[in-house]
Formats: sequence, C-alpha cells, structure tokens
Amino acid sequence: MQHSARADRVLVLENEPSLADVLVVYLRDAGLDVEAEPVDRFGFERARVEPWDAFVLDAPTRAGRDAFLLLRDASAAPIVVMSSHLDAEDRLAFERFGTDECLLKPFRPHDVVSRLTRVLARARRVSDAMAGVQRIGPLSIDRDAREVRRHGVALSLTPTQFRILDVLAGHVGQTLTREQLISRTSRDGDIFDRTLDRHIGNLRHKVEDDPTAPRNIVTVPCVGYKLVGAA
Amino acid sequence: MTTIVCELRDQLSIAVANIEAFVDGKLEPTSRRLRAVSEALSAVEVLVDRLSADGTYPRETPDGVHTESVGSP
Repeated sequence: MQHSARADRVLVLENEPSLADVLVVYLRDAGLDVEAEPVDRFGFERARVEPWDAFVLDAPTRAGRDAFLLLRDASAAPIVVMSSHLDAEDRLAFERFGTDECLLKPFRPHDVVSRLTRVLARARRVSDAMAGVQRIGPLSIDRDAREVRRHGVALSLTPTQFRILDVLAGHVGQTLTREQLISRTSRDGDIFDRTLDRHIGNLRHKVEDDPTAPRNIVTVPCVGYKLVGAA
Repeated sequence: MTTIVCELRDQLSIAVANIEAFVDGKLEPTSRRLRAVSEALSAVEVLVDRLSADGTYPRETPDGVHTESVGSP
C-alpha cells in the first residue's frame, strides 16, 4: 500500500475522541490517509462533499442503522460498521443496506485495520475490473490506455515491450516458450529469436526492482519466460 | 438487558482499544487518555452493579462465593 500513487482516503466517524485517536493512528500506520469526525451532520456533510475510498462508522446501537443510512445516502464508498449490538437481525439489516463489514465491540484496533484493508482491496478489484486494469504484483496494465504502471508510477515502454508484457500478462504464472512469445508478439517479423532476449532484458530494466535478479519476468531455462506476481 | 450489554460493549471498546494502543506503542498513555480508560472502566463497574441489582447475574461475596443465583435466561 505504501507504493501506491495515492493513499486511500478513509473517514472515521466516531463520537468518542479517544477511540477516534486510536483508530486514526492505526489506520495511518497502515498507509491510509485518514481523517476523523463525530457521527453528526457535519461528519455526514464531509462524507458527502469530499472524495473518500471508505468509511469506518461507529453505529453504537440500533439507532446506528439510521446513521448508516445517512452515510449510505452521502456516499457510495464502502462502509465498515462498528457496533455494540449485532444480533442476527442487525446483521441482516446491515447486509440489506449494503454494508461491507460489521465489527462487534469490543474489538482490537488491528481488526479494524484488517477489515478495512480487505474492503479497500475488494473495492479496488471491482474498480480495476470495470476499468480493464490488470494487476500483477507491483505492475498494473491498462490495455485500453496502453499504460503500464509499476508501484503506481507510469512506465515508458516501447510498442514491442508493451506487446511482450501484454502477452505474458495474458498467461500469468504460465511458461510461454520462446516460439510462442515470438509468434504472438512479432509484427512483420520484427522480433527474432536472437532479439527476444534483448527485448526482455530492456523490459526487465523497466519493470523489475533489480533487473539482474528478476522476480516478475522469470526465465524458465531452455524453455522461455513467465510472468509472476511477486510483490 | 440488551441495552446494558450494548453499553458494556461500548465502554469496553474504549478501554480495550486504548490499552492495546499503549501496549503496541502507537499512543502515549497521557493523563487525558488514561482518564478516558479509567472513566470507561468506571462505567463498566456501574453497569455490572446494575446487572447485579437487577438480579440478572448472581451476586458474589468478596471471597467469590455465590450468595444467590437468580439469573434470567
């Protein structure tokens, strides 16, 4: 998460200041951009007018359902609900309203971090799928925009390098033989057996942390190459 | 009963989260934060007394012996 171009923005809606302090510090340490507001009309207004990636809402009792609905009206971002009352009926109600995670009090701060991380990852997968973006380890490939990012930073790839990465990314974790790679990426015979290694080497300089010890574009000796999603 | 349990959960969450943050070294145990924990635990004490007075839970003597057992289901 510390590598992403922009940290996810999270609003904690919590009336108890000491609890808000705890949540903010744990979530910030998890790499999130966190703000806190009380569960009141000012908090809901801030939820409505600013862009947020997720919310943590203290919905202490059954009245919490009303707070949840107000927040749902204010924003479509995922909501993690913390509640002191979560029987089967409550869970059903929150699920019907479209909550993403429910935590029963008392909870450990780490529980909130892990639930929120899960919710954000799920939301990102949905958003990526809608945008046609594929993530493989530190790489994200936007085929429509013909854009590749590494740790969120756009890379400048040649058309040939993009084609090779695109083909490898279509078979993540599978070894492609040199012949398969050449036949699927060569345009008018512009990639030959002897130039493939050079293209791969140049590509590694752009996509790998250490091109001399590649972890993403891996050589399979005597066969070819494969793309793996190493972090 | 449900209301008291909810209030207990609310107060315990304040105490647990703050103490966890002190233990993890995330927050300094300042007097303001320690007061918040102390007030939460005092509220827990009051709520437990209310449960006992309601007869919801069996009373115990200081040496731990039950003197009555009129718990509601």
